[in-house]
Amino acid sequence: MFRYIYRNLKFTIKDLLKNTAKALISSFGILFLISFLVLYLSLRTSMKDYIGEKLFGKLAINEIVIYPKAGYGKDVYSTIASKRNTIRPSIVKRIRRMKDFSRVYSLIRLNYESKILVELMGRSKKPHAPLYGIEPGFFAGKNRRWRQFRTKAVLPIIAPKLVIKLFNNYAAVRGMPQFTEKQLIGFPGELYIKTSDYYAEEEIKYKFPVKLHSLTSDLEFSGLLVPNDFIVKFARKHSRDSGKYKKGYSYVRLFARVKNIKDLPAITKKLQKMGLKVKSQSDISKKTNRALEIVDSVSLLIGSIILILTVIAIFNSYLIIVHNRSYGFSLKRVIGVSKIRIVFNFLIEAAVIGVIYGLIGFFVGSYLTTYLSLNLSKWIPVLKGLVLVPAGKALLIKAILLSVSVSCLSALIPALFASNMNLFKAVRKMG
Amino acid sequence: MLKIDKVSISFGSRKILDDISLEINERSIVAITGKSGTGKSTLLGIISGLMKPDSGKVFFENQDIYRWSDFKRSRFRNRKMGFVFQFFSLLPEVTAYENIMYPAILNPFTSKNIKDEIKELIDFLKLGDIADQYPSTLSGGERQRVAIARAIINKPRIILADEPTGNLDDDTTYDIIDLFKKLKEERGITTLLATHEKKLVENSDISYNLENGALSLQKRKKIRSGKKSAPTLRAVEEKKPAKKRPKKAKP
Repeated sequence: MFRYIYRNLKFTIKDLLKNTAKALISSFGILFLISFLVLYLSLRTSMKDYIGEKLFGKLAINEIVIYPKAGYGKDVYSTIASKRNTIRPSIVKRIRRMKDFSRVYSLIRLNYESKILVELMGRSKKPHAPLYGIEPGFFAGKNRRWRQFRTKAVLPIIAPKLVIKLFNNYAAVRGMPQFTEKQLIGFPGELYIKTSDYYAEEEIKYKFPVKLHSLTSDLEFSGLLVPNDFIVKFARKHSRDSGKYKKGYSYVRLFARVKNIKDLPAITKKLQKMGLKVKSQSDISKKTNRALEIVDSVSLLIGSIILILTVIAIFNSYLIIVHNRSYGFSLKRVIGVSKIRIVFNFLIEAAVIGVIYGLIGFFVGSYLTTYLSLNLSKWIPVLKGLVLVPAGKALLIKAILLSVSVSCLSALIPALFASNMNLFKAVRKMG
Repeated sequence: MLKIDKVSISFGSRKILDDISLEINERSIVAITGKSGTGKSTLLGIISGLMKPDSGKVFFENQDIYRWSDFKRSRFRNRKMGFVFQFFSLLPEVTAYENIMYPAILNPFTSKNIKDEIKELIDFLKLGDIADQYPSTLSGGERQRVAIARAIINKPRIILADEPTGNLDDDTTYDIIDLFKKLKEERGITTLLATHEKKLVENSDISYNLENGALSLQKRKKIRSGKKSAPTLRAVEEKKPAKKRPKKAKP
């Protein structure tokens, strides 16, 4: 039996190699289909990211930001100037108790003067750095290392992305090399918090070793971010350092995830009644998603037309192949090859062609994506800033599967023709 | 061994075979004659299980072959039948040796010593020099001998030959006739010939004429008496060496 399988396999492979080379030329259409698909999917993903990032920021559709009424639209710095720019703790408690939210994160600000000391190639700087705190969970899904953002002996700090520019500007002026974001992560420093009043006779200062955890653009603030439990504990511990009671921190923003997006209008009204402002993406996101759905539907329609045309073209080519090879098929049938085996062999040939064109199509599509990425903004200036993401490995497998399916689908009916032709006459006449 | 029972087939309104019955015994050469288009090839197609008749049955060893699945009929063709056609019908992309080998590849019961068997067959059919050549480089007679080798590699019970000598010259035709006779005598293979070649008919054990969809038994004597009789096998054998062998120069 093993010998039988081996002999058949050997003969089938030999047959396959010989016929595939010929069939490759006639099935050229699959290449265009797969290339188009790869290019389209890259374009679509990039467009979606571009629209999401450039037009709507990082807020998800079910996320809302709750502001103090006076603080809406202002930088968080303004919170230090007036109590009206903060959210009262009683209101925060009320909001946390509301059942409309699955999660509520609070951005708090330490109401003491703080500075950070950094040393770079023998030079040190100690600029003012307002200190904010937030629950680590806020970064879940936004920052891969969010679990490491918790209070430790060396305090992790998150800085706004702007810092890297300031850092590199400073480095450039001093003739130092430029830094990348990765290089800066883990950069050490010292945090100084002064709890005594400006006019106090004795200055009370605390020093904490810190290291940079990451940079973020998820929050609009210009200070340093630490885990909020650090700020809460510190504020409680040192609230009476200056001799009189002073509340150590204030609520600046609340970030909440709404359980049911349909309830958003009612929730917004409730929050507005509490004297707060709400910012959400729900309306605009709905419209964007609708627009993307329309783009997807049109693309699907175009893709389907291309798919059908490709299938028809390849089907036609396979019919010609069957006609040209009818002598061989007939002869094999006469000699003792069954119908199923003829169909199976033909489909295997089609599948091999599908794999080959799936691979080539993927790489052609990827190359076109890269080429477009470099040149698209030159041709269409409106799309400046659109970065086309090259297709990933997952798409390669999908492209091959689609290509194989299209090829086999196109070959199925010709294969059935091949197995059902008037064999005896075909052999007799075509010899 | 093979029995055709009241077989009929029509193509459109044209009736090709009409209630034909025929019985073929083992170790015989049966010829079916008739004009072009009378349905000789169709009859062979039906016998081989490739063309289902409109009515009637085909029995092989008392089993109705059209009750079998296509897979079983394919196996049956592969193991029990051999085919020889007018235009040789060899796979052009493989060598003569691989052409002979092909039916054996499809047969799971092919013996381990298949290569030795092919070698023996090549010697038997005098194909030694051409085994590694492609069909396009072979002469008509050589191609037909390769086709016959392919037809008998699986040791079939019957060979269906459709105009096997239609494309060959007289000498080669006699070679092929000899071969069929030899196959019958030495290997016990029955041959069913569809032909209008008189030489083949004369050397068959029994011959039928197919006309207007009906099969009638033909008497050999009648054929011989009609026109100038074909040379007997012995006569051809005596003639052949004289034609082929170059005269040796005397020392």
